[in-house]
Amino acid sequence: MKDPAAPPTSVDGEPILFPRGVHDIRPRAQRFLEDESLQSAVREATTLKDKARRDVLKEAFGDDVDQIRSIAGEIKRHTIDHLDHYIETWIERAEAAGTRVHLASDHQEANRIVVEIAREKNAKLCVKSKSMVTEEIHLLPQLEAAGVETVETDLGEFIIQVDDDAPSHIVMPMIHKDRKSVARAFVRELGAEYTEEPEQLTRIAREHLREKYRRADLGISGGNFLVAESGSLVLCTNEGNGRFCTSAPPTHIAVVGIEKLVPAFKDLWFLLHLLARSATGQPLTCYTQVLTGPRRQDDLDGPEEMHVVLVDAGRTRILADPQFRESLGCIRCGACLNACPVYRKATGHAYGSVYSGPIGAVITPLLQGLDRNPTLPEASSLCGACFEACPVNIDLPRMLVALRRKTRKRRGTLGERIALWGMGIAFSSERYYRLAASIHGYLLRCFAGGSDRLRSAPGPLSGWTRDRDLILPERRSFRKRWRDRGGAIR
Amino acid sequence: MKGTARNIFLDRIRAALGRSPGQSVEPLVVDYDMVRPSLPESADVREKLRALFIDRAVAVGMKVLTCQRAEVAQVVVNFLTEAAITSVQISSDPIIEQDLVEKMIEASIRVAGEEVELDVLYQEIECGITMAKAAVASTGSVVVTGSDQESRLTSLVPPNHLVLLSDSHIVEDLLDLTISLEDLPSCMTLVTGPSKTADIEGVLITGVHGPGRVQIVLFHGESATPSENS
Repeated sequence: MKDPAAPPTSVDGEPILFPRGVHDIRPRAQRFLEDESLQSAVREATTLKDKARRDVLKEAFGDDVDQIRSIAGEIKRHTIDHLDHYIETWIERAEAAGTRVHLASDHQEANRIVVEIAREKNAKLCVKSKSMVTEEIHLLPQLEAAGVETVETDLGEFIIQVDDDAPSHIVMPMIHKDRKSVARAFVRELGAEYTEEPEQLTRIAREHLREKYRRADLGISGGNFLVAESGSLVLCTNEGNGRFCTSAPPTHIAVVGIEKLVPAFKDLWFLLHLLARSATGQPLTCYTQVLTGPRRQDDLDGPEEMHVVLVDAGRTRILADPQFRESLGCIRCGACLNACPVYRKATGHAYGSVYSGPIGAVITPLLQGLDRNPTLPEASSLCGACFEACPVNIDLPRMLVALRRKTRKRRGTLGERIALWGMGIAFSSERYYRLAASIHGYLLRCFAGGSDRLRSAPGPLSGWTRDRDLILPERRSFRKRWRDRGGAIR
Repeated sequence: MKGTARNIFLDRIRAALGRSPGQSVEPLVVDYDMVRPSLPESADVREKLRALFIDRAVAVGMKVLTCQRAEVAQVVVNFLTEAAITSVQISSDPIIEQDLVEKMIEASIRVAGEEVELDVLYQEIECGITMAKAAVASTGSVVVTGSDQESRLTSLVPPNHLVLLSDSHIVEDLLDLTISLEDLPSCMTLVTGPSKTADIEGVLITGVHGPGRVQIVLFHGESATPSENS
């Protein structure tokens, strides 16, 4: 029988999130590629959201989109470059408003702080809204071990918890699951009547969770932003569960990464214009909460205590490296995941991290160690779609290349060196280039043996085709067709 | 002890950035106005903002009824009657719309204040009524608060949320929201649509945990505020 405290496992028998030992993205990605329904679900959802993002940004900002993205990047970079100052200011203002601020250097310390507060409050039931950082630090098993029943309340996260699964997307956590699996899990775990209707399934979850909100003695949330000038915590949510978790229970604990700061409200407003549009195509999420301390003396309701746990857990290490510092500007919108051709095929669980897609391929190795995640930076075609999609203009391809460089301390093999030497010659003159291109096309067609794609190449080249295939070049080159149409060639 | 641990934490960040304690920060200068909506020139600013707000609020799935200030109570009662809503909770702030409570009781609607039992609030109240402190035209948002005048739960627990909004409170953009750092409430929420999710196969469903219907009653004219009354 499965140990109830053991984390859910993936196709390779390892925990879905943060496998033990060295994680290789390829075997999982290969298995997920064969799963037709997973592929079509992820393809549809990501394509739809990617298009929605482009459309609404264009509608709202016209041709200024790129300039606005670049200003948003400047705001985050400025904050990160002066993070000590803004954290200090935030702590001072937050404490003045009655918030109890805790600082956690690592996972263990963050968990210990939360569990201690729960114990002190004698908490038995905790309602929790969606938070990536609590997944990162493995908070839930710690709370459960301390005897605090903890319920995820975001619909997707609730379903994932009920079905003993793990989130596979920053914004759409159950993008990999279909309604049938939800229906089965609700029958099995909640004793519900079988229904596949999303409307009915949502009602079941709603009724189940309302009872929890009322009884809960602890609410846990993450945080989207911390506003230094007021000491506020900002939460962006859609379902209303985040509002319940921060309003109904007598104690609220927010677990937040130190990189979430912004200097002032004007910076917050600017970034909010981009966050929901980039994530889901909404102008703002349905609820944007600005929380500044616990309930005041005469307030009608709200938690009596508000705690914020600021989590470092490897972030200062990233801060110290100018090459990767800008990755801390990420506002977790998920746009780079939706835009990424590799994420769309490999899908979230292949990354073995709560942070998947291009941003995950950068920050997971930085947070967890490149030695444990050596293949993640390879999970990119370097096409640049993630950079173009990023609302805070983070140059992800540059950092992916920088990480790859770190894993390649040695020189290439003899074969690789010969190949690169050959390419150097081919690109050195037009004549050599044309010659190389026609030889290249001829060889590929030979290897493909009549198929329209190269699926397995011979000898040392087979390593390349193990994870990819290649569309064959046209017989008639672009240059030839251009000339045939009467176009001039220099 | 606490101070020391805090200094160690901050010193580690300073060391990573190569900064020293108390080192000053040049303020960031960027063009924040880039995100403002481009509105057509028009003489009547209030009318322009009103039209944009209605357009955007409807686009995100909220309903808007418009009226004169004197008609608010009647419009609210009509809405509740048509929606077959028979019990409401009202925060103290909108009660200042004097005849509202009277008219609702006349129409046999059960009216509860914020002192209502949680059991009743969760199980019986069908609609929460609150007053919007402000509204944002460019995003179609209304601002509600948790404070000494307004319960956080009124606009959250019942399946319907009715918001009273004076058109004098509509600002053009988020950037125009006046935030007074001295008296920021403990909870300020921008509501931009009914509670929704698309978690199950991308199917859009409203009314997940919060209200599935948000009805705005947008009235022309100033709203009375306690400070103006006293």
